[in-house]
Order: sequence, then structure tokens, then C-alpha cells
Amino acid sequence: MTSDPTQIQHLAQSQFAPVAQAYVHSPTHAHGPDRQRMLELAALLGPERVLDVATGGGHMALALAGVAQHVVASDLTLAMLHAAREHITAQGYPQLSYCRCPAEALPFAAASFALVTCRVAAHHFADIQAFVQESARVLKPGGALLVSDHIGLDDPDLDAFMDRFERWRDPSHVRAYSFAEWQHFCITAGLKLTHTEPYQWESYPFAAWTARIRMPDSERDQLEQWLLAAEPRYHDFFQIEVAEGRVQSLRGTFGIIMAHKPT
Amino acid sequence: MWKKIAGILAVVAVGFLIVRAVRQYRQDNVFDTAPAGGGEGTPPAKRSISPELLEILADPADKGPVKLISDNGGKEWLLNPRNGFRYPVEDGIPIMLIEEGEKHRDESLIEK
Repeated sequence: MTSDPTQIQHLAQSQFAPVAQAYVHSPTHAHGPDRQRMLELAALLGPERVLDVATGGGHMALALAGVAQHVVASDLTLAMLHAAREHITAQGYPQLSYCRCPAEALPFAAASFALVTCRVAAHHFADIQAFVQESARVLKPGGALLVSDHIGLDDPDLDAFMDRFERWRDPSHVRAYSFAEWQHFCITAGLKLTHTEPYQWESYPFAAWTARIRMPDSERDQLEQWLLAAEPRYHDFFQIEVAEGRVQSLRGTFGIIMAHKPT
Repeated sequence: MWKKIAGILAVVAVGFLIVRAVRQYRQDNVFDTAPAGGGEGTPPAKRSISPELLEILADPADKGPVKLISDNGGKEWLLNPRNGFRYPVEDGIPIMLIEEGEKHRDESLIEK
């Protein structure tokens, strides 16, 4: 795996540009259980300006549009922004703003937002600490950073197993961080971690999950064989469902992180 | 008679495949270009940066304010007046990548 930030960002763009529409229309991304929960945790009152980083299909930005005064949706991939804008505008919200930028170098003045959200994207970032640092900078005092993402595991074997299948499928998957690692990122950036909670993302239907990212057939088959050959403890933990010798589905681990900027 | 129908069907099928291939090619090459937007056949309305966004936009490197300017061709840019970096605005979306700003740098626009 490359550790060069520019290469990682280029990889993410080349991965997502051709499949932007697939992420707009993905039911799991559109209706994941975390989206409503994030809105509840955000407890927006109406007059806030909010930023959705790495908006992807724009599903979080769309949810925020109904409750915040102004929503800025950012993404590194221009095709994603166009797809998100088309989708959000068609839902009756033409007034959002869009901006192409990396999560690690946000082009906004300090203290611009009451809330920064980032949903199921931080595992792609080239420099996660820079993202948290930048989020802290653009937040107003008392503002909140609200992240939903894959969550790394404390058991190193389980964590390594998950890391392998996620990155095998999607080479732009950099890392799923544990709650403890998120706490460290927040403290380093001057934020106070105020809430964490795991949630269950629906299981990955193997065929659709590998097709959405256009995984080459040979790679998909090798990944399937590797999953089938894994020890029972991995099958149990990741709920790898097998029927007639084929992987039907499996699960990753997810969670929500909330941190506040001191007043 | 049947040969003629089969011939017509073959031509239609080939046409369909070509249209699909072109559509797929376009979809695969949206990496760095703005789509037509609007809908097929109708030119999209020119979009501008919203005032709400302009109010808070900053240079991604030095985090200072940027100014909205237009060049002779009417194209909009966001200028960092401290170093002349110009960030393009594509269909109302500012492209705030440091390498883009540097690529389009215009030293004559630096304000002393």
C-alpha cells in the first residue's frame, strides 16, 4: 500500500469518479442507520452553517439541508460533486454550496461552521490527523465534529483480517481507525471526544458489494476464495454467510464519533 | 423478406451497442471534467458561486481570504491576492486544490 498522500488522493479520485452514480443510488449509503442518528446527535436548531466533508453521493448533506441554514458539501472528486448536486437538487434543495477540496486542506476561514460531518469516508483520507486538525480549525467554539465510519478493532488479528478484505476490494481504503485512535486524533487537534457508539451497517451482499466498485472478476474470485478459507473465528465475527460454496455476505464494523471544540 | 428484417435488426443492434459504448466511455472519463448538466440537448444555465460560500472561502494553503475575479474570457477565478494563485470555478464549483492555484498563478495580480 502506498503511503504517499498525493498518490492516495489520486487513487481515491480514480476509484470514485467512474462510479459516482453508483454511490448516489446505493441504498446502504442513502439510508444507512447512522444518518438519522447523526442528525439526532447534531441536534441542529436551524441557524447553523454546516460542512459535509467528502460528501460522496451527498446523502448526509441532503439530510442536513432540511435542518441547517446553509450546507457546504465538499469532495476531492469533481464527478462526485456533480452527481451529488444533481441528486440533491432533484430532491428539492438547490441552495446548497459545493466545493472541490481535499479533507486535509479545507479552503474555509477559521470558525466558519457550527458542525462538520463526515460520513463513511474518513478511511480514505491520506492524512487523518490533518483532517481532524482542519475540522477543528473551521469549527466555531462549541461546534462539533461528527464522524461515521468503519471502526478498527482492538484484537489485532481481527483488525488485520478486516483491513485485508476492505483494502483488497477497494485499494483506496487506507485504514479503519479504532475509537481509541479517534480519541488521540481529537485530543491532538484540541477537540474533546464527547461521544462514541458502534452501530451495525447492513451486511455486505458480496456480489453487489464487489460489483459497485467494479472489482475485476479475477480479484473478486481470489478474495472470495480467501474468505472461504478463513478460520471459523473470522467467519463468526464477520458473519461470513456461505451458500453452495459461495460467499453470500459479510459484515464490517462501524461507529460514530463526536467531538466538540472548547468554547 | 426475413433477410431484410434480420439486416435491419442487426443494424439497430449495432447502433445500440455503439451508443452504449459511447455512454460508458463518457461515464468513465468524468475524472476531471464537468458534465453537460441540464439535460440532453438543452445548454445548462451558467452557475455562480453562492454568496454564502464566497463569504467563508479561503486559500487552502495560507487560509487567508480569496477574491472572485473574471478574466477577459468571462471565466471566474478565486484569487489569492497575496501570492497570485488563481483557483478555477467550474460550473459554480470552486476547485480549491493548491496545485490548481499554483498552476494558474498570475503574478501580475499580486496586490502589494
